[in-house]
Parts: sequence; C-alpha cells; structure tokens
Amino acid sequence: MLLLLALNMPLLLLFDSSEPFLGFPIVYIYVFSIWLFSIGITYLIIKRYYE
Amino acid sequence: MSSVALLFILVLYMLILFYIAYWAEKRGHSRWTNNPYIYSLSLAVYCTAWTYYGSIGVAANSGLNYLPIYLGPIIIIPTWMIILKKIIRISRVNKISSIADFISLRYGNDRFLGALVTIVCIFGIVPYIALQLKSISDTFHIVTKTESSSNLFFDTSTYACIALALFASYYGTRYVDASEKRRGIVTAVALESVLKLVFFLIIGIYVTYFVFDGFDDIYTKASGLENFAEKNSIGGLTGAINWFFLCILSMFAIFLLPRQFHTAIVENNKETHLKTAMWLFPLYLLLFNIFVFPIAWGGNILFEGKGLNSDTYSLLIPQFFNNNTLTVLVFLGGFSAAISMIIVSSIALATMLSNNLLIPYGFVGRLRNKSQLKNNKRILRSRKIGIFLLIILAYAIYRIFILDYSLVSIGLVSFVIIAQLAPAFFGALFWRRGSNKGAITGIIIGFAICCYTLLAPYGLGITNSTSMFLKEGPWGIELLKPFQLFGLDYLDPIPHALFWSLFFNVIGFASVSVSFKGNYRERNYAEMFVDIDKYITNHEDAFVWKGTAYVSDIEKVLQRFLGEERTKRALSIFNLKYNIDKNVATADARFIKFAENLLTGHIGTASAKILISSVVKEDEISLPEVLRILEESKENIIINKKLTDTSNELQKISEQLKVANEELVKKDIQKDEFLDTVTHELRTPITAIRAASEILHDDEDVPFEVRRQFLQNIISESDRLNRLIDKILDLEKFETGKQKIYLSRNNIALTIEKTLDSLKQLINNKKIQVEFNDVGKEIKAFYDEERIVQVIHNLVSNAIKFAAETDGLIRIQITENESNVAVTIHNNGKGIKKEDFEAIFDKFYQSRNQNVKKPIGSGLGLAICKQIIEHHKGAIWAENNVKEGATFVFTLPNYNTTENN
Repeated sequence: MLLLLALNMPLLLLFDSSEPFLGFPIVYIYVFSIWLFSIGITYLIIKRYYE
Repeated sequence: MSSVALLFILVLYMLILFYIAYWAEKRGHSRWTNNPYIYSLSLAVYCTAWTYYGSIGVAANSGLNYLPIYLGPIIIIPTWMIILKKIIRISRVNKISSIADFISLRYGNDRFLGALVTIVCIFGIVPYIALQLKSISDTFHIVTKTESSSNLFFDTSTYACIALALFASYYGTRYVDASEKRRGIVTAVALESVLKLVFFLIIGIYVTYFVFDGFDDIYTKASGLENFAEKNSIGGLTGAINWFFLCILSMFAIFLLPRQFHTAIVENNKETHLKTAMWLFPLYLLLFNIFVFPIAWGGNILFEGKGLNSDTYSLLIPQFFNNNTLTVLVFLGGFSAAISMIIVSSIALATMLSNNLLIPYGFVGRLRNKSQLKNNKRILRSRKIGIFLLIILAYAIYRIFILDYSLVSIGLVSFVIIAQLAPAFFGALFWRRGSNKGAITGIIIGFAICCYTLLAPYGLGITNSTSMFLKEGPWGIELLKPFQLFGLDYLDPIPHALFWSLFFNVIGFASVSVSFKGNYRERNYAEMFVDIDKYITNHEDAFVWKGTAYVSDIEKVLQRFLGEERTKRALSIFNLKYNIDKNVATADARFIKFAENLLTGHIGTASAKILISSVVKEDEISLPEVLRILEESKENIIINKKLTDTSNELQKISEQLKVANEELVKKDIQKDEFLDTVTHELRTPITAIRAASEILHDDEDVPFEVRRQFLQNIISESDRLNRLIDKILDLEKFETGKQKIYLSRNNIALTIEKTLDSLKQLINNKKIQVEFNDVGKEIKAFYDEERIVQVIHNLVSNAIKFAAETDGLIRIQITENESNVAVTIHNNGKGIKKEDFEAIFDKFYQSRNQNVKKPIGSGLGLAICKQIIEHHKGAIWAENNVKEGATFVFTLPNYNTTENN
C-alpha cells in the first residue's frame, strides 16, 4: 500500500521535474531509489520473519 | 551483415538452447535446474522484446511512460508471500495447469467459463506474440540492412517463425499431464533471461561510457533537444492519472498473463522459492530499466530529425559506429527476450486451448472408449498443433494488422484485455459470494468494451485519420467515441479503455453475484479457494458430493488416461492416505475429487468433471445442505486440530511423567541404600554394646579392670549411637525442610574463635598448631550462629582428625568480597582425591569406603554441613590448591547484600 502511494499521485508529482541530479532527471532518481528501497525492505523482512 | 551469416548464428544459438533444454530435462531433479534462482529468473519472461526494444522507444518518444509497466509489479510483489502463496497452494492441490483452469474451477468447474477465459486469453496474447515476431523480423532486417519483403516466401522472418513454432511445439508438449513441471523449458527461459539482461547492460554501458561521456554528458546534450523537459516529467495531474492506471494494469498483468501464471505458479516447485524471487525479480527489473534513459536519449541526440524507429536505437547506435559484434549481441538479446515469451505463452495458451476449449467441447466423448496410448497421443497432438497454429496465427496478424504500430501500444492492448480476468480472479481468492454467472457477465461486458474501445479502433487503424468512427463516434454520436467514451477525454486510449472496461466489469461481476444465488458446487469451491490454508493437507475432505459411485467404474476411466500401473499406484496412495480398505466397492466424495484431480492435468478440470460424472450418479444437493456439510467439515477440521493438540499435550505430559517416574525409582534406590547404611551404622555400636554386656552378664569372674574397660566401651558406644541418631534426625529435618534457620547479624571471626575454644582439648591432645590470624576482626555476616558453629566444628574436627600425625597444622582464613564471605579451613594431612570432591558430601560416603576398618566419624557430618550452608544460600566445596593436605571452603552471603535482600 505504501508503495502504491509512494509511486503514484500525489507524492510522485512532488518530484515531477526534469532537473538533473547525477545525470538523471530527478523523477527517475526518485522512482529508482524507491524501487531499490523496496527491494531492500522486502529482502530484510523475508530474511527476518520467514526463515 | 549478410542474412545467411545471421541466420547461421541464429540457428547455432537455437541449437545451444535446444541442447540446454534437453540437458535440464534429463536432470530434472538436480540442484542446477531446481533452485530458487532459476525460478526467479524464469519469472523474467515478463521482460519481452517489448521491454528490450519498446521501452527505449517510449522513453525516446514520450518519456517516462514505460516505467509504470514495471512499477505495478514492484508495488504488488511484497504481497506475494500472501497472495501468490495462496494461488500456488490452490493450484497445487487441484492440479491446476492454467489460468483458465483456475478461474473455471473456482466458479463451479464450469466448462463455459473456462472456454471464455481461454478465448479472452487468445485475443489478448496472440497479438502479443505477433508483436514479438514483429520485433524479431524488424531487428533482423536492421542487422542485415535488408528491406522486409512483401512476398511471404522471400522474407527470412517467415522461416525463422516456422522454426520457432516447431521448436515450441516439440518442446512444450513433452508431458500429457499439463500440470507436470517442464524443467527443460524453464531452465532455458532462465538462461535467456540472464542473456538478455547481460546484453542489454553491455549496450547500456557502451552507449553511456563509450559513445558518450557518462550520464551527465547525455543529460547535458539531451536537455538541448526539443521537448526534453516535457518528456521527462509525469505531466501534471492528467499524466499522473494515466500513470496510475498503467500501474494498476501492470499489477494485474504480473498475475494474469498466461505466461506469468505458468512460470510463477504451474512451474513452481517449492513455496520457499518465492522468498528469493520476491527480492531478486524486482532487482532484475531495476537493472533492466537503468540504461533505458541513456540509450533512448543517446539515440535521440545521435539521430535527431532522421525519422528512424526509436524502438531500435539499441541496434542502430552500435551499427552507426560500425560495431558489428555488439549489434549481433544486442540482436541475440532481443531474440532471446522474444522467443522465451513466445514459447512460454504458446505452451500456456495451447494447454488452455486443448484442456478448456477443444477437449471439453470437442472430443471428450471420443476419448471415453479409447486406450490410454491413443488418448495420450491424441491430447498431445492437439496441443502440438495448437502451439504451431497459434504462432502461425500470430505471424499472420503481424503481417496483416500490426506492421505499423510500435511495440508498446500492442503490448498494452494485450494487457488491457487480460486485465478483464482480474475481478473474477481476485474475487476467486477473497470473496466467497462471487458467482459463476457474475464472473461470466463481468468478463463478457469487460471484453466487449475492450473490443469497442481498443480492438476495433486498432483493427481499423488509428492512423487512419479519415475514419469517422474514431473522430465523431458511430453514427455521429459524440458520447460514443471509442477513445473518449461518455465524454471522458483526459485519459490516453489505454488507461481510458482500462478504466471503462474494468468499471463495468466489476459492476457486472458484483451485482450479478449478489443478486443470484450460485449453485452448490460453486459455493463448495469458493470455500476451498478462500480457505485453502485450512484444507491444504486433506483437501479432498472439503469436496462435497452425494450419490452412488463405484470404484471400479472410476478406475476404468482413470486407466484410459493414466495407464494401468499409474492408476493402481495412485489408488494405493489414496487408500493409504485416508486409511480406506482397498476392497471397498463404493466411492465417496473424497475419491471422486481425487479422481478428478488425477485427470485434470491431462484434460483440464471441466473435462475431468464430465468424464467422472459420466460413470457416477450424483444426487442434487441443495445449497443450504452444502453449506451445512461444509460447516460440519470445517468443525470436523477444527475438532481434529483440537484432538491433535490435545494428544500432543498428553504425549508431553506422559513424557514428563516418565521422567518423574525415573526420578522416583532413582530416589527409591537411594532410599534403600540409605537405609542399608543406616542400619549398618546403627548395628556397629549396638553389636559392640551387646558383646560387652553379654560378656559382663555371662561371666561373673571378669577382672575389675576389664569390666571397667567394657563398661567404658558401652558408654562411649551408646554416646556414638546417640550422636548418630541425632545427626540422622538433623539431616532428615534439613532434607524435608522442617529445620528452620534463625538468621541474625553475627561476627564470623568471633564464631570461629568460639568454636576453636570448644575444641582446644582435642587440638592440644594431638599437638596440632592452629593458624588463625583474624582474631578480633569484625567481619559481619548474616547467619544462624548455632548452625554455623556446627559447620565449623565439623570441619575443624575433620581437619584435626586428618592432619598430619606429627607437626599437624590447621590454617583458617576469612576472605571477604562484595557478594560473600568465605572461610577456608586447611590441614596438612593426606588430602582428598580429586574424584572424591563431590562425593564426600554424600551421606555415609566415608563409611562406604572404609567399612573394613572401624570408621572414624559417622559419615554424615559433611552432608549436614552442606545442607546448612545451602540453607544459608552459600556454597561449600573441597579443593586441593596447596601441595599437601585438604582444604574446605564455605561461603556465606555478605552482610550488606543479605540485609538488602
């Protein structure tokens, strides 16, 4: 659910800008970092609670 | 590059894949083919040529919109542990082999619904396969720099397509049982997933760091291009709403696409593989998306204004720099992406086509009386032809309809069509009331709207701007314009179609489900699907069925598909599982369900039901009765669970009892031993007294001196007897806890002095030197003085007893630390053997080892000391830290801590 919020309106629009950051438009950076973050969280939860 | 050379490379590549599939098939159970990584990578069949080429096209032309296709799965994957696990379990116990099976089984094992789902899937997926073929063909022509020929027979892509169709139809139909795992195909797909990712990363790195100078360079150059800022942002609220619908769309797709259902559920070997897939698959998708932006905009910079197809930038860029090897590698990556999708999709579709459409509607009647061999051949042949025809049909669609569309637009149309299954599918998992009629209504309405808002316009050609139908709506009715239905004009065609179709689909599904009662079979399966965790071990129990059936009839049907040997084996497993006598002639509900399951993999759920019901006579059951039976079986399951719990508890208790009993037996033996020794101990002085008194009694002439000696003996032995009895009583009091201890504040140095005073006589007699340096010190502790005097008395008398005969020495020390006060009593005698350290505190230990000689002391002293000290919460032990002699130490809690407590 949190991911649905994070990757959609209205939070996504906050980062709706093509200004550069590390050679990528900010919106890409935002999406990719949420993405990476979700992978990390999933990995941790799986390791910790489903072993 | 020449066509022949490229074809040669392709054939070689296919042969390698073929070999790997063959190898993996042979080693179906080895660690190499059967691990969570293969599973996770096989899920990456999600990334097709559409991802490989199409994303770049979208990123170059319209910016960010390629991302939601991956964000949907990312959003939903964290819930896989709940949802996907449930689906996997349901599918496993029911031997489900496709999404059509899944949906139709849930809604009462309905033949029509299965067929409907199959048709929807074919409409959705065949154009999608066509898209893959288009990408292969387009890229083939780019690499070889040839024009695609309008004559089918001169176009090399035709032959590539036929080869592919043959490969898929040969390899996809190795098993008659469609729910059987196909390790070969899965391994090949996983390998292709690795290849396509690696090749894509290579081209990404090449473009970013070799053609350009890193991400910054691309950004700087690209930001000068037209519309850059606009294309790299979501585009305000309208854009965000479109974005949202695309996310929802892909969220459904990751569950519903037949190829995803196949790899994620049918080919799942172990539920635990999910754990790896849940982080590895999103990571895979992330890696695949990082270089899309640089390649797309790198291409835009290089080919600005040349009007090239931006889908193919990843090929055009290396070709532009004359890098042939890289071009071919990229082409192979795209080829991998395309064929893995084509193969898995066509297998899944062909299974549905045969199990849910052809067999139940066509030749299920003819299968009834044939032999097993013939039946299996027939089923397999139907699937082979199915796969082949599907691919050829896709090729035809590609040639006729979609030559001009970009990859993404066609892919999304497929997604929207498949998404029509979503309400029925998720309803199956979570909503008991969802009914067959509701599902059929929803799917038909949704599909019809899709046809109107997407398929019809695409069929007519959206580029065909003269079409009145698109511009003004049918018969000029503005409200019915297919892309702006009911005046909804701010959505793109895809989200627009998705919104309206799902809207009416859900309404249709929900309203019909609520208004009409479903039949009993539906309700039965609803229960099984929604509560699968409860029924997972004995799911046959959950099947409600009434009527008359004979095992032998059903057996005959089974034999026609499974063969004699497998049928027998299956039957004996069943009998074993439910503890049924094999001579029972009538079949019960569990057996019916079991038999249906066995057939399901071969001919699909609907046909299995038809075949089985043709040999049994089922009585109609009313819905309330089904509910009652289900309630009962639920209760039974709960009671069963309670029973197992109770029996587990009983087992635990009986184990505890066993332990207690063993302890008791041990104690009993100890008690006997104790009694033995006590009697022995008591008898020794009594014997001595008796002997002496007898002599005195019998013989009057004993001289006075001897008589006196005897009397003296009698007195001392009686004393000894007395002491012994006192000690035994003491010990008994301590052990049973009757002895009370009266703690008070005392000075331990003073107590020791007092005790030494009382022993002065003995010490002087043996000429022993006592070293005690703490005289007059004040070391306070909390204890019962009388008892501690007893302990010190005992220890010192022992020390006196065992000190060296000449130059005997006893050293007494007091040490104090935070938690306790320790008293050490050392003598220079012969010492104690290390192995005796523990045992000397046992009752009568000494006498047991000295019973030849006359014992010195009762052997109870140390045992009593131990009891006393332990009652003071202290400790007592023996040590040998000095070279000669024995040392006893006891501790008492320090005054301060004791007081605090």
